[in-house]
Amino acid sequence: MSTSYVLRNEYRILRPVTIEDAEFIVKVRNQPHAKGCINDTSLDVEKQREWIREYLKRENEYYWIIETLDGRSIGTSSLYHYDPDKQQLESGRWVLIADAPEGNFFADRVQMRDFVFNILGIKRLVFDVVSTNKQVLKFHRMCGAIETNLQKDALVIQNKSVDMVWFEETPESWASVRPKICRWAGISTDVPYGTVDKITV
Amino acid sequence: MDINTFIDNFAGQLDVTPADQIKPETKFRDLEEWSSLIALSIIAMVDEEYGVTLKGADIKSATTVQDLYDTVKGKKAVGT
Repeated sequence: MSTSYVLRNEYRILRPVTIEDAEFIVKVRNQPHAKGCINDTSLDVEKQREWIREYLKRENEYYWIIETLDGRSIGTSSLYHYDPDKQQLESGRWVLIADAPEGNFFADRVQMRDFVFNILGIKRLVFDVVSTNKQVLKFHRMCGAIETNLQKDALVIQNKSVDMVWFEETPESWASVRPKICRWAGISTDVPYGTVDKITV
Repeated sequence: MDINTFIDNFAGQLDVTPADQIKPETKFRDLEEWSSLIALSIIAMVDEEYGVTLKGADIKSATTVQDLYDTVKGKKAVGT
């Protein structure tokens, strides 16, 4: 049993992953557009179930299914690698199905950063992006993420060595860009944006 | 504001499509590299370059680059 959260806004619901989501996770992570941009994932659903069982025992780690408001699973998102000394979390496993209905990525970003910095009290959010994933790199840069490092040959994905671009965000850096992102999202600047429900999973 | 500068700014959000392929009549959703992330780049570019906030619906209702330009110009004229 561990603590998790359900995040809701007017476009999306993030609800904690369950063992029943294993098949969806295998499917979403093995889509053609996702391969090469995220770590390789086995097609073995039972292995995925086992991984989720282990994940559910961990504290301070969060893995969500992204759903539309009518409950359709359209992707995943996660926070992990909690470092209590640095009050740091890593963000990742952000994958959407190819035909995900249009949402509001800016609003989703505001909600996730508000959750991380205002509710969890994290002081440093880090994440990496495959260096060839230009649109995602551009998205993070325009949202004010600070580029910290280019990690050469960081991973082998699809039998190819890939470089990763590392980013970080802090409560201060987020506060400085938040009004702009809220404007782009077309949402109010109230803090926090959206609703958060704490649950036990 | 003028359409040529807008086209340059629009093309600047693309990674693969040569800039000289972008014309007023270009149906931007037909571009091979078009994606929801590029739509977000357009929203950010328009905010920073023109001081106008585009909504997702504005992009959805536009078909061509000229349509988008007209929307931005219209919003700028009324100060929104």
